Amino acid sequence: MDEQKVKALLERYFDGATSLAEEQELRRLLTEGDAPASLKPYASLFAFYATERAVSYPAAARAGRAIGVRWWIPAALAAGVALLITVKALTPTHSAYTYYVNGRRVYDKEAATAQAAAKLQMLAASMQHAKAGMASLEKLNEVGRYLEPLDKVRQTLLQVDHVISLAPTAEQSIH
Amino acid sequence: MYTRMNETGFSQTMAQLRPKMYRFALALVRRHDEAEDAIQDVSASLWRRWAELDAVRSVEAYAMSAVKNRCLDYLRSAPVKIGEAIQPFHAVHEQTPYASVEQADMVAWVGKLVAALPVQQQMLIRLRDVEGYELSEVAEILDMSEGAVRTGLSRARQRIREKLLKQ
Repeated sequence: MDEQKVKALLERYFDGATSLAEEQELRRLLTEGDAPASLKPYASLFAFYATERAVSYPAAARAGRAIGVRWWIPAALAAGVALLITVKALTPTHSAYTYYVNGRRVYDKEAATAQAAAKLQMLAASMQHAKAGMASLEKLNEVGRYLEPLDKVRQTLLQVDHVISLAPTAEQSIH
Repeated sequence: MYTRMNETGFSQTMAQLRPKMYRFALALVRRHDEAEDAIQDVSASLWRRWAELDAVRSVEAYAMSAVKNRCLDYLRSAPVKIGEAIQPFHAVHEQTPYASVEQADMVAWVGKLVAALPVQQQMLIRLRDVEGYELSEVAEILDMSEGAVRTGLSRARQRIREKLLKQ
């Protein structure tokens, strides 16, 4: 290493007078080979610059950025179109189908039918309980006819059962 | 108007600039996540102004200047402690150019000296000595005259030298 040349360049460097080419030359001279003791601190300085310049953008962040600007515009457009379609699909067309379920206006025919069918199923299940109750009452009647009022209740429940059996189906009630 | 050509040009430019932007931001804010946020914001800003930037001026100078402004805003709201080390995990080096542990320690010590400089001097050192920009480019990025860059750079280097020789 030409120590005098390095020292002269260093003086100009610390004065802010060196060109980029001269600074590169200085870096090369100081970091290649073994610098003399007097120049070791400067060798560390230029090694620091080289080390910092070697810091790379982290790979994980690079992957994240690749999604960044390239995809957000089409993604936003796609989301916008999907929103428009959804709004259009959910916007009721009042002239087509209008139903009332539990007193609320419903425009979706299938939803209304399903809800009505579910309600009727619940009613039917309740009737099964009622029939079981009637069977018990008949057994009681065999024990003694003195429970006349209960027989009247049984008759009433049988009438209710009959009425329910005549009730229209879910589809019929909707249309 | 958005075109494929513009998008490709933008991606290529960003691929080249991102490491420089990241290093510069990381040196100022000392936090990977904040450096990331800065790059994200500046990238979005660059994309919005892409058409006019492409024709009018140096995209790189604009980008680095935008990173500087974004990081200085952050430092004003949450100043880092003088000499605070960069989070070790995020100082990702592709190579380890040290010949010995002693040299590695020396380089780390120099890093602390540089980090202890006033922010303006740190930026001058980073842009010139680390990234290798011409004085005119540093002047454009930092919005200073070329003479002021030369003077500031000299002061920053002299300050490091004094501390280096005091060890």
